[in-house]
Amino acid sequence: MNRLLFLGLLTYLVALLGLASLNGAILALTIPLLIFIGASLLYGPEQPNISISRRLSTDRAKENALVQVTLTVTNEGGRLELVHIKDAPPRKLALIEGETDVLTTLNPGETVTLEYTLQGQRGRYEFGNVFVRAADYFRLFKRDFSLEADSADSRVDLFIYPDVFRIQRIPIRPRQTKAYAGPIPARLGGTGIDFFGVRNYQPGDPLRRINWRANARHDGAFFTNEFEQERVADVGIILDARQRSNIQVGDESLFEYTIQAAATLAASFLGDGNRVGLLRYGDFLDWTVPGYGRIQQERILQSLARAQTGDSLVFDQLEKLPTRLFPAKSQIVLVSPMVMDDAPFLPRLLARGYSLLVISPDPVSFEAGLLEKSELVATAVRIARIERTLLISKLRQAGIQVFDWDVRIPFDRALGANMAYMRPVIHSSMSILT
Amino acid sequence: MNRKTILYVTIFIAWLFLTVGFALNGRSEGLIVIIPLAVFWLAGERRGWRWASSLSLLFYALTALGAIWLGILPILAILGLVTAVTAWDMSSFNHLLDGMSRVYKEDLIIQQYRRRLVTVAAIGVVIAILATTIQISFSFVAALMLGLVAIAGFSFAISFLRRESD
Repeated sequence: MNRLLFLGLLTYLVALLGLASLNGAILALTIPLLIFIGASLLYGPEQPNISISRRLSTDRAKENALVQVTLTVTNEGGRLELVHIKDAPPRKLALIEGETDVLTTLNPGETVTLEYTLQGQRGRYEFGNVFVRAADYFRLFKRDFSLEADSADSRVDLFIYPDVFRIQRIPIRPRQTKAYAGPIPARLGGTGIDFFGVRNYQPGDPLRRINWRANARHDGAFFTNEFEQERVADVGIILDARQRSNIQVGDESLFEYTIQAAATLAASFLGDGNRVGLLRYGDFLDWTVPGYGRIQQERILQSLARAQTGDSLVFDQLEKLPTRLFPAKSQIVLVSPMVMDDAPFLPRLLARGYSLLVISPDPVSFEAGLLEKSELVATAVRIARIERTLLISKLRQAGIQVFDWDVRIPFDRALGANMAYMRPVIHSSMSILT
Repeated sequence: MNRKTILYVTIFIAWLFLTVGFALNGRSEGLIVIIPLAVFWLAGERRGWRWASSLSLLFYALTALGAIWLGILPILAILGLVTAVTAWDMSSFNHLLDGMSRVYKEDLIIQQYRRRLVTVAAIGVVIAILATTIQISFSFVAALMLGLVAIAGFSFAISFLRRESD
């Protein structure tokens, strides 16, 4: 029961009984109670004038990294006898050290600082308003406020990025490359490392590029070696955020692995100088426009930090993939655990001229590792394994590069071990070798 | 002395005032009420029951009323009730401090709080004792009017308190 109400009712009761009994001594008992309430009213808080500033040690952190929060509260009004300040860090973040609330007394101009350390998993976290309760020492009259922390010079959102692994360069062969030099073979003769072909000598060609053997065979004609140009390319990463494909067992979600793979691939492709865009395909579409460099990596990581799984009748199947977002003949990287009915849609991307690489976190090994061992589970795993093998072989037969990732092995190690099998598929109709 | 010890001592003093009052008047029935009440309050504080102090204060107030009705010295009843109110507030204050993860300038807060509490309690006791020495005679009509005004005033006060407590 509220203290003020309780004391008021008690005073009222004593006074009524005093009046009813016409006993002055009983009536006199109300006086200390009234003085107690009066003193609380007299010293009760007025509208507090408080400024609050919140500062985070960083607004972008890795998973499980420690983030220090400093909340500075300054009393810019009159004296506050008792003030309870409670910060509201996002619930999903774990408090590692320090306190999020403090009780103090604040003189005019005085400042109190709250420092605490948080830790959390991937996500975007918004800090709420700061709760302030001011009262006198008897706490009969209180005033509660929800104050916004000053955001002019302080960060209010915290992004916790997914883990990004350092991986070897993934060999891709999009049908079209950009004009700038990079690591991707461009199917064009010129300067490079790998031998590409031989053409007639042109004045100005360096002598060391003349193919002397070919010259010897053809009287009076000179030939020059050509090497394959290496350029950067457009890479579109599609993150499959459909609930139905990203299974969840207890607190463990396959989606976190999908995110991890997408973040690592984005960092790798951007590190090679490519132009990379990201499409989140789940209950809605979230498109990060292609771009280059570290700023683009930040954009993609922020998008991945926010990513959640979801279901939508519209985007239930990959059929609704808006492929026109991706530049023609570019490289598409689909990061998806995949379900059986995805199989018919992926070859269509090839038919539209895109090169396709599928990175698929294996839902079978993921779920099998989390379920209790039993004969029934073993049978179910066998059946699911057969279905998945069938799906992957269908895609490979269609000319799609597929990396089947057993998520029990870290992505970088799994990819490194399978890099030999990750040779890009060069489609015969487009191949320069024909 | 730490906060808890002071609280226990205050509860004991509140008990002592009423006990002395009943004993001086030879009212053993009052002792039968006041002793379990003090024991209950102390036990409630030991066990951390937040509601125990409010319930105990209510019964202390009723016991003080009964004590005056039975004719014990009003000054002892006033002192008993004021000490009980003090203990009630100290109990709540202790719970407040214990429930905080951090109290900045704790010593200063406690010191100023105690000073305020003692001052208000002393003023309350002095004025209440002075009030018991004053006797004013009213006619029946004046007393009736005063009663109505008091009831209306209290009703207004309670509605104000309810509004403030929201």
